[in-house]
Amino acid sequence: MENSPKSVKIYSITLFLLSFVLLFFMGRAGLKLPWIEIAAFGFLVWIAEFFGIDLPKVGAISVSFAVIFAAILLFDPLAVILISLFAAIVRLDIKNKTSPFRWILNASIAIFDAGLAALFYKFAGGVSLITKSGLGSSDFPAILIPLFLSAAVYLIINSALGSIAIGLYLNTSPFRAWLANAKRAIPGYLILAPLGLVIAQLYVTNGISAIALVVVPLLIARESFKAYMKLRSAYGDTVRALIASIEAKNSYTKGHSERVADYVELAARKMKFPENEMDLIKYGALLHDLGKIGIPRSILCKPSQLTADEYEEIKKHSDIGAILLKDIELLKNVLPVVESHHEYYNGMGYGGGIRGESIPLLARVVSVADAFDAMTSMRAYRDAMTSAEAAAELLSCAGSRFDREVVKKFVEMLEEEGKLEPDSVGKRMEIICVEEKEENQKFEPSGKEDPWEKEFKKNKSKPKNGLGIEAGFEVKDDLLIIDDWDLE
Amino acid sequence: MRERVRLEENRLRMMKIIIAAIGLLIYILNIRGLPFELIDFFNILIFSALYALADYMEVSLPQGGTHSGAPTIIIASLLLFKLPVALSVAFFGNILSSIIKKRTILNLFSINGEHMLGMIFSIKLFLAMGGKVGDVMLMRDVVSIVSLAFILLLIDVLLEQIMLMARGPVVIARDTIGAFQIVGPFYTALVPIAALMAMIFKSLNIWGVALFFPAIYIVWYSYKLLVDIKKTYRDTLRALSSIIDVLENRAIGNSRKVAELAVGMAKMLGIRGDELEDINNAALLRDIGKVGLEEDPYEHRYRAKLKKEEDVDAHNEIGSEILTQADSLKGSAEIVMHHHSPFRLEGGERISIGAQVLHLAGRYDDLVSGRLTENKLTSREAVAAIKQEQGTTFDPKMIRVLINILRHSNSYWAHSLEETDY
Repeated sequence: MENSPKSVKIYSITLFLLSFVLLFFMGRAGLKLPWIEIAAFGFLVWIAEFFGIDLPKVGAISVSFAVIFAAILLFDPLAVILISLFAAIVRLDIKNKTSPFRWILNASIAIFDAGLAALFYKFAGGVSLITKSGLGSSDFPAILIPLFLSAAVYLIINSALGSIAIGLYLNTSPFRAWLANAKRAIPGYLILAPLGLVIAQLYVTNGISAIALVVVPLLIARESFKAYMKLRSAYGDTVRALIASIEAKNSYTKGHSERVADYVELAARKMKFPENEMDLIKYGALLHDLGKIGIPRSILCKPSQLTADEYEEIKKHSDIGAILLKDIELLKNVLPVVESHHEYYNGMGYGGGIRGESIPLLARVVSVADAFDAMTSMRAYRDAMTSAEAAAELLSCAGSRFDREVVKKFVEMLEEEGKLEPDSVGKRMEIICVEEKEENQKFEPSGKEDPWEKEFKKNKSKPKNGLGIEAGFEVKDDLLIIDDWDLE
Repeated sequence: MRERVRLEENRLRMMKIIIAAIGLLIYILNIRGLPFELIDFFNILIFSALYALADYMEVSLPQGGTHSGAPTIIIASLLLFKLPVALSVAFFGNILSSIIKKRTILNLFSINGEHMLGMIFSIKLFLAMGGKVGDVMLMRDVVSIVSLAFILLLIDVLLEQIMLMARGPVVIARDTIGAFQIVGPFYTALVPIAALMAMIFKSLNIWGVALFFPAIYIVWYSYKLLVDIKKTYRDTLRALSSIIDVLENRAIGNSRKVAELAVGMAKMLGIRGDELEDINNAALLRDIGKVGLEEDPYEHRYRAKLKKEEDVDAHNEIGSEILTQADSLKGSAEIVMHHHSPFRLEGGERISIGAQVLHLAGRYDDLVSGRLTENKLTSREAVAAIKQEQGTTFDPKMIRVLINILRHSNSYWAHSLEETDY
């Protein structure tokens, strides 16, 4: 906020001045304020804010609203405002030396939301629980109307004033931010408002000590939630550390897996996979050949061509990998990659015999990257291909072995990364673009929902048409089935 | 073997019948002759429903067993109502919950019996200490509420130990304390909630409970999140152990069985809680240091070291180094470090119980699965082979524990391993 735009500053100051007007009108009534109670409840608000839990991405959870709401039910609006101001003190992170405008903004929001909510409670016919000496069951359900109104006002004002500031700061529509904010906050209010009523009632019937009891369940919730968040991140770290150690020592797939993971990551970026899932995508690619640990080394490291039986043995590795990983919750979404990365788009591959778009999109990407890396690395029985040759090979298998669109993106990615000379595969690309329409329609997409697929479809570019090249291009299906460069 | 199992089952059934009979007797004696008012029926209805709800929402723990919020309802009804009403709440609540969970009749009544016994003793103590039913004042009653909850828990735990006695040898005093350590913290959390519920119900009746529910729900939800992620974590470690099994050319699930044996032995030695978890994880991941050992340059370093000091198994060190990297596995790292060391190190210092049981369990498994010898050994032969190292590699006391557990287990350890396809 140091360099906050002028509009935000003006907004904060205006709000602050307006809040003084509000205070002035309330103060005129000349009420005698219950200072001790204000201090006690203010302290509780402060504690609640202080013990709030910061969420990993945005915002924090705190229960201070429950205490403020209890104050609304107990005290006069002016006292409520003073209590609510305690929440503003903590929010200002003194360590971070936030700018004074943030102080002003938070203080005025605290004054407005609590003050107006308290006023609304009075207008809607709510009476202070102290003067009533506690509610009885006969007050229900009539009392719920002022309670509901007051909580709603608090929610609306609180989220609106904050959203306007954010909107001005980021120069976006404050209305949309406000809707999103309010929607997100509703469940919290539904829980905290009844709790506020419980606190107010206990305060009247059993004194301030009873409120201490309310702290116990809240503290349990807080501690469990905190432990949960900690364990969740520790869990990720543990899985990563252990998998990395297994993968690092699995020497015959090591370099290959890492290169494939790099290609897949680049291709996934190009295909606009969600950025926050990039980690998972990398794990999937890194682990795609994990099942090979269950295949005898004599077969894996055989320097010559494999016999049909040995090839059958190798084929098991995608299933073995899936069996090994199926219980790891964190990797649930990448399991299909391990299972299906040897499926062909035309259904001639292995792993379960699926084809077309029922092969998960990421598995199709890994399949392309896997083949590309296999072709460009040396084998005992043949030399490595150049990138351009390998890319040309990929393109010639597009539509039969690989998904056209994926190959296209992959080759485009290779060009952008400088791995290919531009135009070296240009002709082939054009052929693919023409053929795409006819070929891709053959395979109906499965009914299953693939979140990545959906995202990808949205960003899919329209195939270029009318380039005047007729289909003189044949896909040699049977050549691809027993393909030596596949047998890593 | 089968005969003994049947004998134990019969004994257990007898215990349950006795407890159920005592419980029913208490219930009938208290209900008889006391006129219920209309409001009492209403309250019994509400609280039985709450009891069933709390029991339905129980959280099952990763290490087995469950945490149910039902004791909260029992304590709250004891604080609020006359004893016959409170007993009825437990009685009908249990029936309701048993219908939902499809428990057998015998189980239902024995649980009821436990409740009746606990409730009657704890409420007597509460009254004797000056507590007043139906009028809870926090400051005045704090001591008596705590003692009420304590007695309720004590009787619950003691009866459970008696049940366990039917299954095998139980050292009542030690095991009761152990059980207290496990459920104690959970109860401590339940009691304030029960007191709160009693207070809010007194003034607001059913509305109070309704208002209170969302907050309780959140407590339950966060607790469940925590327990669930613990479970997920466990499953994941198991999956990783299968990967290691494959890499080590063992049957998938072999590490899991070794872990079961090690944990069983540790339990018999009175180890509880986190330490048990550490042993379990250590057993699952004990050979992670061996993974791909031949080719790695990292490994060569250790090989070189190995030639100098031949006794040191390099994979222990590597494994424990890997585990140290993850915070939650630090406890296991120490166990993995020593899981091939003799029970008394050169300086005369003893290695931890966890490392000892893991060493023994691993050795036993190696013998019966035929990894160390030419043929697979039977249980008896394996134990005989282990006994030869009594006092040098293994603590004689540990071997006795192993034999004890082998006698009591009926399924897996009597046979040797079956191999899976890989």
